[in-house]
Amino acid sequence: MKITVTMPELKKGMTSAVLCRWCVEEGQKVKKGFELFDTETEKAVSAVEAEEDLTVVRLLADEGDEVAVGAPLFEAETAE
Amino acid sequence: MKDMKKPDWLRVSYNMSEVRSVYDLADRLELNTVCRESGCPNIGKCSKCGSATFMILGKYCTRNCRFCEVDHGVPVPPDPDEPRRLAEAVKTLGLSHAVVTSVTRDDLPDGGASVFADCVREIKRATGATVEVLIPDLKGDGAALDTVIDSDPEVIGHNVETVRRLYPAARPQAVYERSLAVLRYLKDRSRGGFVKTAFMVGLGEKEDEVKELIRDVRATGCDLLTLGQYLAPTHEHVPVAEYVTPVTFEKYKEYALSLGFLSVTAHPLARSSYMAGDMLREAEQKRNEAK
Repeated sequence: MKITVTMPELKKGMTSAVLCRWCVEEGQKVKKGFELFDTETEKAVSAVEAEEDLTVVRLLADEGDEVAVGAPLFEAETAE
Repeated sequence: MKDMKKPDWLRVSYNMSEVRSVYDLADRLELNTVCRESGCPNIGKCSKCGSATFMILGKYCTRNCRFCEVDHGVPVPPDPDEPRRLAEAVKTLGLSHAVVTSVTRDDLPDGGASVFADCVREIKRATGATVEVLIPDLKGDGAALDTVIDSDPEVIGHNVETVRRLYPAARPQAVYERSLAVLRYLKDRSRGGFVKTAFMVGLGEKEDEVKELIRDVRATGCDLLTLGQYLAPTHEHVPVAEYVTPVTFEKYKEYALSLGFLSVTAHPLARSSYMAGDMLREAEQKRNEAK
């Protein structure tokens, strides 16, 4: 199933965050729990993990971009 | 210090589905967590373990500390059913050690002490978990403090938060000496329970001030100590003056242990309830060995 992974709301009141670094590349298969990308909020750099097994299809944001909560980050394929 | 690059040791993992599972439970039971309300950086780590620190007495604090992300505002009346729902959450999560804190409620005659006591008793009755409460200063009111002490939590904590010199800037509605007096009172009156405090570094304090604070706290008889890096919630809050290195944290830990604390957690990401169950077990073990 094709899904679009969006910027999560990592903390109360967060409206956007900087995408610091991709930990995956297009075409890469990852397991649940694998670190997908680093994003910086006021208090920390969060390494956001995959919520399920997936294959990264297309990255939709660049490192350094400020991405709004809910905005697309990448497209992926999941098993279901 | 605006836009200072975060050091590697402030990188944390975050899994949305794990966080959601804990917070869906809190939402269903109409409970607040300090993890979410304070924007705790450890939220991913604790959610992975199915853990959370609950914040009772609403989500609006009557004080407005310049380092804290919890909302300042008009508080709501205490909810008499909150202790029952809190115990249900502790049971559902399977916590063996529950940590409960609150917003400061200077508007209530006892500062919320009776609600703390009800929560401790209900958690113990319904779950058998050990309980740690992290209380405000309750304005130093002995009767209110006695109310909490009499509920027999395993740990009573009250945070000194920062060094003496920085109170006016960071904690204008609190008093350094009063917080120390609260710790001393808790230690003198508690019947076998441990007394705990926590403070932040990175607000601009000097090493000798930190050591003075550690000595002052230890002189109250306080048993457990947690130190963590101050992280500014927004640019509107007191800015971070410095990212203190893990090596310096270790140095402070060794200093505190040399003064006789039973357990010390000193780490950039440590918060009041960080590894709280482990700290209690370490303190119990040391106390038993000393008998």
